[in-house]
Amino acid sequence: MLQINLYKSHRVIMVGIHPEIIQSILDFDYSRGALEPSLIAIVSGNKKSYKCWFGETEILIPVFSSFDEVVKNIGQVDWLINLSSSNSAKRTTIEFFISFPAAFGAHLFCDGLSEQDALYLIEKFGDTKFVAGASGVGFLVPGFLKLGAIGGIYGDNLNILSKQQGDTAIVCSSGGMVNEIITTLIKAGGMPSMAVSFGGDRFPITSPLQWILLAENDPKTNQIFYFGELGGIDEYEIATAVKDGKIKKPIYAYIAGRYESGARTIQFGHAKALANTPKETAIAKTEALKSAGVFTSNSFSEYLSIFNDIQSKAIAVSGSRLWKIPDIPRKNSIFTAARDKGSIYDSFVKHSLCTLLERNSISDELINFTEKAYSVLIDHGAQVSGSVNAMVTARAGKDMSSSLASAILTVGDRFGAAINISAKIWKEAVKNDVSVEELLENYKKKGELIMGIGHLKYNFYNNDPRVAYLSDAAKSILNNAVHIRYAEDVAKRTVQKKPSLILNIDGLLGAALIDIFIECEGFSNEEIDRLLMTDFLNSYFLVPRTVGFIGNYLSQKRRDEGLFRLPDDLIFYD
Amino acid sequence: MSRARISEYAAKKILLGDTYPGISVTSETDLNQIDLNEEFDEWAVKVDDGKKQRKKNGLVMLSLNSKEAKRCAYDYINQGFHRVLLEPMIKHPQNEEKYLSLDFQRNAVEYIFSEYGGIDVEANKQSIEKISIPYSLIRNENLSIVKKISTEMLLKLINFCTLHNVMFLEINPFIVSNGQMHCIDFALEIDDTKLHLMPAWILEHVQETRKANEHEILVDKINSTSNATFTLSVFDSNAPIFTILSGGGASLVFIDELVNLGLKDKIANYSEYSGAPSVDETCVFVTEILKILFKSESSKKILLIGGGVANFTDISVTCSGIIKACSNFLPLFEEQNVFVLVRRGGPGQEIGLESLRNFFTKNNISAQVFGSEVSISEIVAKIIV
Repeated sequence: MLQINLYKSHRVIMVGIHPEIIQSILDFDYSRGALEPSLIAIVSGNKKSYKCWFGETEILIPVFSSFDEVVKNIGQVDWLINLSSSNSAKRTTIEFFISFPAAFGAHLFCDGLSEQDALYLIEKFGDTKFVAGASGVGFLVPGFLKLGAIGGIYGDNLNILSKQQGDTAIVCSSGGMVNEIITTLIKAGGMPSMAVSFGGDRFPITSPLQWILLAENDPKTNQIFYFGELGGIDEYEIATAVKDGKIKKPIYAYIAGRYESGARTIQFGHAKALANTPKETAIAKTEALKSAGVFTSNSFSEYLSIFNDIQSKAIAVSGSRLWKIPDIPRKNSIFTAARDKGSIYDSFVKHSLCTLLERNSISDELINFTEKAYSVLIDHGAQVSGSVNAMVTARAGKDMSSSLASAILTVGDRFGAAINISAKIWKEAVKNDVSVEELLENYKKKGELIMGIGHLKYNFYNNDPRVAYLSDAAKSILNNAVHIRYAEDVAKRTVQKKPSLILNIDGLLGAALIDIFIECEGFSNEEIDRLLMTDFLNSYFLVPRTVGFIGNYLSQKRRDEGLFRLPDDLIFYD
Repeated sequence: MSRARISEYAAKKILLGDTYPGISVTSETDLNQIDLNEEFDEWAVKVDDGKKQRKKNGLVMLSLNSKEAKRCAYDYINQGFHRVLLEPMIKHPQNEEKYLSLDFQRNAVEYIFSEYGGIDVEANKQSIEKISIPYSLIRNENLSIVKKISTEMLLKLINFCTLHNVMFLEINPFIVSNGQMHCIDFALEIDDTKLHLMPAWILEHVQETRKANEHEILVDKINSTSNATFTLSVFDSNAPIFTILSGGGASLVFIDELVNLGLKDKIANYSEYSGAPSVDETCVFVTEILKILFKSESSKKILLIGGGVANFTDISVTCSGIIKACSNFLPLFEEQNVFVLVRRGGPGQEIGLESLRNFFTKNNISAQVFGSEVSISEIVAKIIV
């Protein structure tokens, strides 16, 4: 039989993003006294963090692109809020329970889940998991767990629901009505022990009876209020269970949709709200429940008035904060920036590395190597594309920043910004144990150049002195230099094909920096991957070469040979 | 996720494909252009509007030749029926008619079979085989508990249902000839969440629970193209109480409370919208209901705009939509003595309800606007007809 300890654990993840629901869950958590939000991760594409408030502080909730990543980075999880549409709800829910087999359940938010998908989920998880939905607004345990929009998204009600618990379970087909019923219960001085809207579809994944049994087995619950609708036969299951003595706590029920339409069958709002047979009418179901011993009401107002008659309890949640959930939605800041980790008293190189890596301590080896790399890359003559741009722009009478911008815009895969790509190539190859032959074969098949190999000016017979200099500097501080050696091995083979296919400065730097980060900075594989994902290594070109470009600009400003125009014979029109 | 009943023609067409020789005509068909297949000399003509007990009610004509068949179809259309089916007769002795239905329920397929199909299937209770077949048995293709038809035939039908998202199937009657099943009548209900995946022509064959009202048809269209949901059923357009209700559950409760006050016959319509519709969607929906309201011949008119306490829908958005719609009918509110009663709660209710109040006051529309401080029963009690 399906049973859980409601108060055991409440680590929640959400598939999809719904700002109001997310913020309401965090407000609920903070208000109830939690030190950390119950929502520990979000699964969605296109971002890595989601910003919201936790109390008066802004926090970032990590966003992952798959359940695997959640498992790797976060660990186990208890509940899912699945916001995906009806097209992917079945697949994502199955994936969730495969990734987190010990999870208690989920809330499926989507409308329009197909009956077959619902039946499939019921077969797979109906007996072992609690799934609120499809459709509806989720599942709530006051003071402990808010799984969905249930309870509202801000204001008084939500505040009270986070700080008090009670003894009255509410099991309801409708999202709007569960809120109405909770509100009335609170006004009458009581509190829910748990509340669920199981949704208006024909086959709610966890049946109304199963939710009632959850309440029956919850020691905190003393009575159960049920709200159902015309359509379907779920209530007959409940009646049978009561008759069989499986439910001993008093149940108060109202079945809405008592309008008798005569010969014409009317499809009401919820998908299942259609009485195809006499059994499925609200009145028939009410009678069936009544004869089983359920306390039924023939009017909704009568049903609500019962709250005034029963002595529903409301107990404060220990540890809840004095903080009140705001009445209105709050805005979040737009950017989250990093604080400067370096010091103005540090050397330029050290401070630069602290800023760029967001760290406050850097190894001496990295600082010294970076100093050398920066110096080497300041200037390499005026022939290169960026320098030409800087000079042309300067001679057009433009200012320093325009000339600099013009130069920087030429930096890319072909010029200056291949350090990061090369690094990725070497890292991938070394990690997957790709032999040099295999690598060359792969690139030959792809018809692509290997970034980090080849130069327009330097070649096997005319070595690039910068490469030799930095290579020696790196090897002198490294024990293994795995990536440098790999890159050099590749170059040994490529120069045999063509002398210009030497290891160029981008390729060397890419390999050397990986090795230095591993051996001197103690970076793990994942940390290196994350570094490479941000294109960090290209800063080794852009930082010093900015000086070079400004130099190009100044050289023209000082000499000012006037507006530049390319000689006619250097242009060919086709 | 409700079950859409489709026409008999569509059901048979899906089952038999191009081999099905039946023809479906509607009031828009030019019968002169229809040529009945010369291969068949005896035709059946049936009203194909989803009505039950057709034979008993004279909605089926048998053993007609092609000329008579076309004439008969023409007559039915003229009588106001929307769709008529003409198909070749499957000649058979009546005592061979059988009945079969499959209803996909939560844990099992409810299978009913009867040796005696046709009109009086319910009269012969002892010939009925009725079994709940658990899905686990179906998956293992272990259907030995079913005695009256072969496992092969039953599996074929179940697979057919699975393939086409059919959740209910009824064949009354069918005959078995040379080991083959021939369906004389064939009714299917398809999961409407999957209708958009089927060939477009099927949509025209969905039997609506009642046709003819243009406003209901338009609201159906809005519903199918929106993420939000919209429903409209007109009971009596000349009754005084018009409803615009939000929430599947809350809308039912409002109607229930009206019925409890003895106002059942005064309710003009049921309507429901939910799922955070946009301003424009709300406006189009409300406009349709206002059209019915202002066309109504009732001397007194009350517009009840009601809902529960929303969890996350922004009330001010729906209020803006309501204002937008009402703006197009301004002089009529006063002219026709319309009284507006509003009760709605949820996020943004202060702003939304205040803007409604201001709008009604500014335009001299007689109205009372309430939030969640008033219960559903209290609001309904304010209606005086």
